[in-house]
Amino acid sequence: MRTPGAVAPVVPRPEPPPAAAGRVPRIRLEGVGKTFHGSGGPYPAIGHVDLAVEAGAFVAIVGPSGCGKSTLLRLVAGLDRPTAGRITLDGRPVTGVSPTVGIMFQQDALLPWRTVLENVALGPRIRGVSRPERLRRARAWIERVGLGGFEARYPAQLSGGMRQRAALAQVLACEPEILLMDEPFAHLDAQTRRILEADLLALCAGGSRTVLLVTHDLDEAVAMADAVALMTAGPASRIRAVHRVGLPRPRDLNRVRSEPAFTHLSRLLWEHLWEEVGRGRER
Amino acid sequence: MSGRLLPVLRAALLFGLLAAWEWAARSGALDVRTFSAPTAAGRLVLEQLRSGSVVPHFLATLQAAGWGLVLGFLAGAALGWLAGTVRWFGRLVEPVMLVLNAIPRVVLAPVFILWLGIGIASKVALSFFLVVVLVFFAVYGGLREVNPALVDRVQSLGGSRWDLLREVQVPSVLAWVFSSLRVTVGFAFTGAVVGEFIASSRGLGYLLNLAQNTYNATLLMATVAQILATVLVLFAALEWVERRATRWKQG
Ligand SMILES: Nc1ncnc2c1ncn2[C@@H]1O[C@H](COP(=O)(O)OP(=O)(O)OP(=O)(O)O)[C@@H](O)[C@H]1O
Ligand SMILES: [Mg+2]
Repeated sequence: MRTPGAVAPVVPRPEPPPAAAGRVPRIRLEGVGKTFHGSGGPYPAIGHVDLAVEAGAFVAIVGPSGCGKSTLLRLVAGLDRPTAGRITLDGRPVTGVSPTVGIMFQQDALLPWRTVLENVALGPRIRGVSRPERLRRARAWIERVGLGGFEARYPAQLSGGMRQRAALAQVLACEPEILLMDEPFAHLDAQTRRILEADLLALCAGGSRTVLLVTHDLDEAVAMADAVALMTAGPASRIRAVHRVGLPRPRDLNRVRSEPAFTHLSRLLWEHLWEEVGRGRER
Repeated sequence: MSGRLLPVLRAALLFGLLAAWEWAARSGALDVRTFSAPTAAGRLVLEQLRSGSVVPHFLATLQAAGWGLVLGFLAGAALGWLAGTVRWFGRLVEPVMLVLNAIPRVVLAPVFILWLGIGIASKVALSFFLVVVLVFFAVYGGLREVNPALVDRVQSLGGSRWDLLREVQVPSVLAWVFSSLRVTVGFAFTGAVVGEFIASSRGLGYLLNLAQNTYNATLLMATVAQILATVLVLFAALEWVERRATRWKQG
């Protein structure tokens, strides 16, 4: 196994996050830490995370299970407060939920007593969009994630993958500028997964959206992102390195996987991740 | 077994039992004075219905149960909501309610009769007392067991406290209330009948007491049959309501 020092030369060295000098990054985390105070005493889930994401960038976050990826997304979404450091969006500190941020959770969280249509229209309704407009928008997104015809179903009447697609439509219907996604495609079959990955890339094309994507699939991370941030094992995790993905856009998600740069980075990430998993086990 | 055969089989079983009972009573295997017979009880029911003599009793029970249900529901819901939203209040009343839930509350029937007399008030009180604890736990539980992921969902979409209430808390509580609705209504009915049975001058419970004291097995069986029929009809209606209200649960 490789030691962390022996990084292959072809892959860019872990470099500072992809923020252009002088510009205020869309998302910035400075020395962010999160310690949970549970019944079993304090647990430092996240130690010290620095990350800056430029507007329009697509950054994937990978790391061993339990290292604090979901926690990090919740902090950026304003659902939880960091216990150290600060998070800014366009230079403004995060003090709560921002209407420009949309988050898709690891476990789908559709309201069980609302139909697919009502669930997808929920965000626009909360934001005061008129009824005909929000229904039009919801229908369009339901169609787009391939759930056309299932508008009147309740979540309990959908498969796991369908629920996840409904949850995706629910978030996208708010048309957020910043999209935080926690393993959004985890329960999908390979075909649907590829379709939604391509859809997501199309949605974010031209830098219209800034995306943080948590995934356990390193190939997915490399294929989709501009940069992949690898987190160390918890407790007190940090970002071990941010790897730029030097693949041109627009990308063909099927073809990109056979590019040498792709295979190389994917393998490197895997080796580093494996080290972190091992380190996590030793603790 | 096919779904269509089952109700037929059930009806056949019931009919068989009644037939056996009837045969035993006629052949002298069962003492008719103690056990009566299905045809005798049935004849009395028809007669009571035709003359309307049972109507005031029926209405009295329904009235006591209805008031107990409505008042118990309101009080239980208010207490449960308060306990679920105000922490110190929850800590204060939860142990009390747990104890009340554990003991058979009908033992308090004589107490209410002593305090409130043999009129409708003591029946309403008993019925209320049975209902209030159940509704308390349905509302309190529904609030406490709200799925935190749903709270996150609504909040991250920009939802206010009002949105949370309307989209998450109220539906969660309603799901609990509906799933305990039949038990709640059954308890309201039990409270009224037991109260009447102990001391009253009207009601189905009073008829039970009268039949027992006058050793009138036929009146006893006829009244039991009418109570059973009422409860069955009520439960069928409530099941329908519950199914409609929780359609989202069905896969
Ligand atoms: N509310 C909480 N209270 C206490 N500890 C928590 C809480 N939420 C998360 N943790 C702990 O923080 C750590 C990070 O959790 P998190 O869910 O962020 O991991 P993750 O990287 O998303 O893992 P996975 O890949 O398995 O989803 C875990 O050890 C977890 O036990
Ligand atoms: Mg997670």
